Amino acid sequence: MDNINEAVSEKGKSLSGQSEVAGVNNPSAADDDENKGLVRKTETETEKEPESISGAGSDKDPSAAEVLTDKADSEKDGEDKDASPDSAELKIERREAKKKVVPPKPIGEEKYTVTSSPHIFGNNTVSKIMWTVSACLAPAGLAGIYIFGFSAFWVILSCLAGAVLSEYVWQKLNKKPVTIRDGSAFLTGLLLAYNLPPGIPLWAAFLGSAFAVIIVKHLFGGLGNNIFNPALAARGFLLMSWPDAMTTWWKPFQYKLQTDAITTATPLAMMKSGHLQEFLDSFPTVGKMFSALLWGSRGGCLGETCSVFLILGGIFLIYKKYIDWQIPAVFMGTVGILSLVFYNIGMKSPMDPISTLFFSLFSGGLVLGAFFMATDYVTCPITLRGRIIFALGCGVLTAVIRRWGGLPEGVCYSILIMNAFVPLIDSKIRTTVYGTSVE
Amino acid sequence: MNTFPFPGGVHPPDYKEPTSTELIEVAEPPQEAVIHLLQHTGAPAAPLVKVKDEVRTGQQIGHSDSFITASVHSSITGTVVAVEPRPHPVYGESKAVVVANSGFDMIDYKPMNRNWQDLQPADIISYIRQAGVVGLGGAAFPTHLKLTPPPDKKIDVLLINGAECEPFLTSDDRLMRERAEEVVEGIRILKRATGATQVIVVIEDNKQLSISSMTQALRKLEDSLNPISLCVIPTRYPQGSEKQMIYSVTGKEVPSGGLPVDIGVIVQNVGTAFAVFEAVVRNKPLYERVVTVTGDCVENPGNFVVRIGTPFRQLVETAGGLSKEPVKIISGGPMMGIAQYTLESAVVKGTSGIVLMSAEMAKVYEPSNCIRCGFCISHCPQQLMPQMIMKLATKEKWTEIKYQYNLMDCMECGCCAYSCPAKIPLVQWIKLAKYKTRMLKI
Repeated sequence: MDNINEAVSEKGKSLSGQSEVAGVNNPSAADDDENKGLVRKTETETEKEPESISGAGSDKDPSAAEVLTDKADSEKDGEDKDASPDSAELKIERREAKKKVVPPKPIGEEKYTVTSSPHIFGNNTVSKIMWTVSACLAPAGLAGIYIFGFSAFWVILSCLAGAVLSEYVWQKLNKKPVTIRDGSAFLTGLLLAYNLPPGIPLWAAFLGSAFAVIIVKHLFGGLGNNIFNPALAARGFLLMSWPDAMTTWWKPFQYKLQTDAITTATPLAMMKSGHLQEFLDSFPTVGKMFSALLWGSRGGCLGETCSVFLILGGIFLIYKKYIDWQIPAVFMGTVGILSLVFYNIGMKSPMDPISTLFFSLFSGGLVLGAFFMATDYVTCPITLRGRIIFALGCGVLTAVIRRWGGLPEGVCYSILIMNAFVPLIDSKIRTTVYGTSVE
Repeated sequence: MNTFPFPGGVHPPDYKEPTSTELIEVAEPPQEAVIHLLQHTGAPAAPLVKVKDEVRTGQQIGHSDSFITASVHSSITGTVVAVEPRPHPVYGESKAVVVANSGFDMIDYKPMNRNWQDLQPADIISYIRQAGVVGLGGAAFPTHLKLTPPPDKKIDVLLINGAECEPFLTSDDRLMRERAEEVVEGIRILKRATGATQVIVVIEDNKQLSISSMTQALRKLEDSLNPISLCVIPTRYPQGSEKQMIYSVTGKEVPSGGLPVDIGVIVQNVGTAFAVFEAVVRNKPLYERVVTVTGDCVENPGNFVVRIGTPFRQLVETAGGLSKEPVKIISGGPMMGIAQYTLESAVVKGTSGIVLMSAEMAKVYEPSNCIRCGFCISHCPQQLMPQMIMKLATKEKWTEIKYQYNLMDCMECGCCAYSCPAKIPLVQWIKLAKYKTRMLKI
């Protein structure tokens, strides 16, 4: 052991002593080493090299040792706790054996990548985010197909086809790089489908997603530049153009009865038309109503009804830090609290406060909107503060539209209206930069 | 000890395994040392030697009368063969004194074991200035200036930065593990020089072995009147950044545009503490430092005591040569380091490591459209708005960037570009904006 320690500190003292150290120790190392041949081979290489390259090396031994003595003195025994002297010695030997020359290249022939820092990147990409969000939406869509039957599947498919195809065609026609693989058109199509009634004609669904991608997204400059949420704007467009088709809702699980689908009204529409009591009466207990609202067994858009899966998907996105929890929390919280107030202004709510809260949160498109539409990066403010203001505005508008507006549902329009405020919010609401709030 | 988490930051993979177990080895002095006259932040030194002069190791070869500057010493013994511009790892190209090694390593200073306890703070600072000590964490700000606050300011807290949050680099980690006592002596000297009442060594919690060796050394050399404390902070990049470290430990913010000393704090790197020990006690000028040579293209990554002015090529040879062809050579760590255009760049005082990356590690991404996700803002430790700066920079609104979006508060840590899913080179935009505002005198 002492010998080895000496060898290590010898190396520490004088570098030119290295070849000596290696020379002394190599044979013994070669004995216990399994790869004898290999070691010997590299040994001969190193023997040649120091002579040819650093001929002056042997000359500077004495002075180098002298200079660095004080450093050697201060070195402690054992040096390191985690690396035993044994392994350290072997490492040094290996290093000696492998020491090889990097031949200089004439200037101009070295070809290295020169970029600004940083030189490593996180593993988030736009497409990864888009596909993850789509994956988080999938369970709610499957639930929609289960609740409303196979026609919901065809609606989803037409929307996806419409969105992806129109992006492809648009980018081809404009001779731009085709970006359908990044998943943003797919996500737009998916979100639009989730906002459509299950029985909508497929051509309308297709047209709607083409509108979303071409008019709302690409005419404004493509990904990242649109002002309005493409899926919601397209829903608005469809609602204006074909109001009947857009407000014909199917009863859940009617397809199982082998009859033509029987239409119903959404809970919010029933409330708006003053038939809330009827809706409540259709459930034997309050608990049944809660579970129907949570699991999505109610009339509504095909992807908005199954709140449980939407919330789970949203929580996953929050966990992945893709969306801020503040947006859905503030949005839904505002709607819930304001509903408690508004449902007792100028009307008599037949529900107790808990039921009112529950009803306001899960009877419409709020969960889908709060977790997946209001959090759309492109169309919401960029700072967290701005996003909270945005969510607050969405919540207030939703509650007001639901209570006093002409339409039963307010999530879609409230988000669209707030989208228009995003540039204003972004220009006024800034972060507090480190060091600017102190003297 | 209580810590205050700063906002933002990222957790890059640390890649420290290949070198954190390697002992610090002394590398062979180079055949030809390229000693840059601009080793530090501030004015370059003027050469004190001319071609054909004989110089000795540790001899002063560069001096300047400017205020912010540091003297430069020869790192080897030999003959000056040129005083000309050579590739510089930070500034591209800069004037350097090129010394050909004579083969005899003769020192120009008197090695001693000075009793620093008898020295006055002013004497300590003067020894530090003579030795040309600069901040070895990377920015290379002259240490004697940092230790001399303006007369109306007082240093209360001295933080010793052992965070080493950059991936790949392990030189400070190894120094704390192998030379803990010298580092602690250096810290005590710094404490005396500054008159700080509170001295805190700050280490990230992923360096448990450094923590234990420093704890032992502190206990051994403890000054019972004013003990030096050790603060372990959670591992997060950029924990080792001066302003973030101050916030983490004290909960105080350095005013925008100000210096840490404005709130009575200074931060010194552990490497600097070691250099201070060598300068004050051993009387040794700063002509060598610990450099980590690593990356997936290096045969035997390791930590080496390297003479200033050693060309990177020789450093790579010392580390066993190349195992595969590198496409990117970085002076410093991968988050803030500077990509080199040649292996002829030479080690300067601020070079804490070099990283050689293969094509797969140094992937270059094609930036896509900004999707306004806001990750750059939420990950910014300074709470700036890199996305807005980038957007305004494309419109060349430099004044707005500088005065409304606090451009100058950016320290280019790279968290924004690291976290950007669209792979937009945000740091490059910020650097461009800084360059433009400087050029246009905005």
